[in-house]
Amino acid sequence: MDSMIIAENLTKKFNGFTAVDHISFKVEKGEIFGFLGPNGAGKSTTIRMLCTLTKPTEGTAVVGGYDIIKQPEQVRKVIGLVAEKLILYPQLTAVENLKFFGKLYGLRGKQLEERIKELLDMVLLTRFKDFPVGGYSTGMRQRLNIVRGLIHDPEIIFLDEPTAMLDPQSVQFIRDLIKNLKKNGKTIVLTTHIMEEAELLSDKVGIIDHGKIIALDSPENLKRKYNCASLHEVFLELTGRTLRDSASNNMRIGVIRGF
Amino acid sequence: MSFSNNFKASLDIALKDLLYFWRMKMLFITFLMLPVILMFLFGFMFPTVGTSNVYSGKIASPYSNIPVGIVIEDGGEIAYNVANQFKQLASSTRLLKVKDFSSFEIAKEKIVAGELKGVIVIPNGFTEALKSNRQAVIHVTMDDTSSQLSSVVFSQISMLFKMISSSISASMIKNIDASIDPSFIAEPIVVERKNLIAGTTNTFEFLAPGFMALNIVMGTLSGLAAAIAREKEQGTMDGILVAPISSYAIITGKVLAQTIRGMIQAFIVLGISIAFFRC
Repeated sequence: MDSMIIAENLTKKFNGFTAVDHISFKVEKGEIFGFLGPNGAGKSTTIRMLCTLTKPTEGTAVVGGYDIIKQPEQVRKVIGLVAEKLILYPQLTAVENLKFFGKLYGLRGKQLEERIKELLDMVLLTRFKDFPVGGYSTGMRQRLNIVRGLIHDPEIIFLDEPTAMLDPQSVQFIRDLIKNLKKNGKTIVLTTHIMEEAELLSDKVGIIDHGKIIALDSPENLKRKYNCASLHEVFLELTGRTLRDSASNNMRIGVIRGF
Repeated sequence: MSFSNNFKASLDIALKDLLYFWRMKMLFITFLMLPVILMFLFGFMFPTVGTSNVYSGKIASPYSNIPVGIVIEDGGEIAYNVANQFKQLASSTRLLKVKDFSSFEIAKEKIVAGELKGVIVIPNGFTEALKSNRQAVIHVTMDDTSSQLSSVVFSQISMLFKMISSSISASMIKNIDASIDPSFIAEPIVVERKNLIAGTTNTFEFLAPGFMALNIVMGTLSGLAAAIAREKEQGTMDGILVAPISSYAIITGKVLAQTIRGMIQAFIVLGISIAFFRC
């Protein structure tokens, strides 16, 4: 099997604070990789590095066969990002949003129109395609947000908490969508705080805490190894039951990232 | 990524930003209002002082019917004649709206209240001075809170009295020798300005181009900062950054959108100056 993502000693430091500490992992083609960890563990920073949005302090990664530091433009062509925040303009309609981002990937004319039609059908939003996105419900917005990341039919898809804050219907719809993407041979990196979801969807999970990967295996193997009934229990076993209020560190990163 | 793809992407970003701007109605209206407000503000802060010719009676002014008061302290006949002539001139040229007051103190209060822009006082001894072949003096008090406006109104008042005074001297010269041109005696040499451009020059003729440039520069700079900050806050910037286009294309597109917007504002300034401030 080809490895679609190979991270080697990936490290990110913000002003002396190490957000991601020499992590290495592989994601194979057609796999769903569940990337788990408490808030502030370094998940989003890792994804930002893999998406070429943040330069690593140390180490590198090969995504889709391209180096994230040396060939960022090639990497960008093969990845799709569904970030924590919606990447949609509320004042523009669904079609206008998809058209704009499609054009950035060099899609134009009939090809683009057909792709937009296909994607809107896929998430059942064709009826609302000419309404401004600002008027959409949270579930509709998230469905559109996901297909926005798929506009150029990427091989590798990063989904950062795609089902957070949604109703059970939307959650089910998006989980089915993710399964379909896997069926079509796409490689998916999924972060989530819902352990049931990770257990249900992932072929392999990586648990990150304090910037380090502390577990990397299939959900079944992890449950067996730690003798737990669910991934939820494994997660708590590994990361502890105390709350993570490392606010000072988070705030420092927040300032640097400009959030 | 090829150059042409990046070029197209920057055009797409510019179009998207302009569409976004158009959809944000409040933002759009505020940005259109800004040059309008600035234009009127500066237009009245620095009023046009046109070139007037006392002898030909040519008068240039952006203002009309400015309220001023007149107080006749002198009881003589000439004082009343002069005051009447002044009132006639003021109303026929529509420069000033002259109101009578019985005392300077009352008129001064009106200035303080903002109802009058100036007070003209024909003091005691005015008639006496003229009758005994001496120069007579008229006192003018201006509202000094608006120095620009005051200087314009003062120059108008003194211009009108100059016209009266020259007509008095003309009649006196005619009485002595009808063959002499009275204006020659009063002012043997006259400076007449010939402008490069026909007509009188206007403050807006040099304010407007400056404003147009200011709008493009200020609009582009502040608009660019706002547009980028907004995208970062919304999180949409990541969507653009993760696309396979060069960061120069992003900046070019954003600058292009703001420049086009600035130029639209500049044309609004041009339209306003033509419509409202042309002499």
